[in-house]
Amino acid sequence: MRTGVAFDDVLAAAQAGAAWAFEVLYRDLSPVVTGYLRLHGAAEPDDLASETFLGVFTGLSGFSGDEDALRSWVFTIAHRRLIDDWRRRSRRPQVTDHAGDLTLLAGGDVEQDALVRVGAEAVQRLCGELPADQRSVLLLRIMAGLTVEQVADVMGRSVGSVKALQRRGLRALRERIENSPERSAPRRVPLSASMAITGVR
Amino acid sequence: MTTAADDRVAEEAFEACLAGRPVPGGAAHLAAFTGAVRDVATQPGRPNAALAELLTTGLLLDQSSPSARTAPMAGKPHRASRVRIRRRFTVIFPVLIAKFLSAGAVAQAATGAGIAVVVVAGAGTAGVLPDPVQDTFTSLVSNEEVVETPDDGLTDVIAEEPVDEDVVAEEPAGEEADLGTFDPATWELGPQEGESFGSWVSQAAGDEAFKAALKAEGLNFGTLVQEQARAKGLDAEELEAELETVGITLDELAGEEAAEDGAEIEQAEDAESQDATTQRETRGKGKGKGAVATDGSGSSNGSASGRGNGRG
Repeated sequence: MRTGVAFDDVLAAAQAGAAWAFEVLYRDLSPVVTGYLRLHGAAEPDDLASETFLGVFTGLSGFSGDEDALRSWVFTIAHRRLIDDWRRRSRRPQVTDHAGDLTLLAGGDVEQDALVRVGAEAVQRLCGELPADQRSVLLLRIMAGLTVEQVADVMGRSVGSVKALQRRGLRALRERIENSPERSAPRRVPLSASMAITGVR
Repeated sequence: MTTAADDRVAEEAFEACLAGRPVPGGAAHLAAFTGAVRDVATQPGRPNAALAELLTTGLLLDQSSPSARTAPMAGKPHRASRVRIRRRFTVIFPVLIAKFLSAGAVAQAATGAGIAVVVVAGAGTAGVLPDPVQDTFTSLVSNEEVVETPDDGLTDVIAEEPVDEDVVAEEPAGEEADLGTFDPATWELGPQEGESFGSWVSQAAGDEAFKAALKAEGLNFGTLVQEQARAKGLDAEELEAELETVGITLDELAGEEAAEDGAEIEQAEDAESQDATTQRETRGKGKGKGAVATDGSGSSNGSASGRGNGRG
């Protein structure tokens, strides 16, 4: 855990209802959970993340496992909240323009912010273009750090199905990146901030 | 055209990205994508009002849960709630005693009635009493709105707290007042509301002056007790059980009556005089035991349990 506090201690305190333990878990997991929901195109990712953590904290007394298991469980709740949100809205997730919000996440450097904003927009667009299940697999593996087996549990799919979705997702991703406007146009706006820093054109 | 080999390379590159290992040049797009995705997840989201409150105050768990006892009781002073429960228990405990004893459910404890009542109260809280008694206990406890669960530690605290004279002195209670301020006039009226029959008997059992006064009026202590028992609907077995809670036997009570009869014919026969003396000696022992038991039982039945609650 990033805070350095032993996970077992934090978990025990959180299961006892301690506010400080909730805060620790929230600060550790909220960025990735909110980012997962945001890249899935949730209209109100912060609110959906809040609902996720309310479910986590109120149901934590029934949880048992290590840190990886907790992460998997949290994302299971987040994924189900997302599906419920989709059903309520009765539409496929749309890529929303969160450029303003993402700028706040980047930092104070104006030029850096611009590069990061573009990278973030490209990521959101690419994710929006992927089928939902493929997107879920890739994001759960990248953002949540889950294994294929854990992703299968979160999504309620078989391991083979998850591997297939991952394979197709990576294939689609490569095709879209190869055909993306960023790659076809003169390389003045790189895909990611890291690429810009290294001077890759 | 993507081939299976291409897929395999992409998957291996993807696993390398996830593990933080260097990726082949042909998979740079995956590294870029992975990095950009992770960059999105750098700041916590903004919690809504409900979550913000939970993060500030914590979660009040179910009282039945063991963990609930270690959870911070947000906005609820722990000491105040315990005081409230303690005082309620002090008030209703004599009522509990009356109910249990009248139902004939008193455990035959070897060390005084206080612990016996505690055992019954604990059993009642745990729901293991015989059905008629359990129903009485449940209705009584629910009416008094005392502790709801057996896990709150209250009953355990009572059971663990020994009868302690010092503790008795700290918290005044009606039962303690009865021991110290015996009123013959009210005693003759029989057990007061909420007072057990055994407690009522024990009040006067050790007061020789009172018994002498009764005798002077042509009354007999044992007879009065028997009459009150019949008025309360207690049969011999129930009366015996009541008396045993305060360390008095039925024989001793009968000896009180017999002593009167014996005294009337004592002048006529020396043998009866010898028997009366023997009976007086026996009664003396009984009185001693009764007195000791009375003090112990009275304390534990009334004040001690309440104090146990308080200290717990």
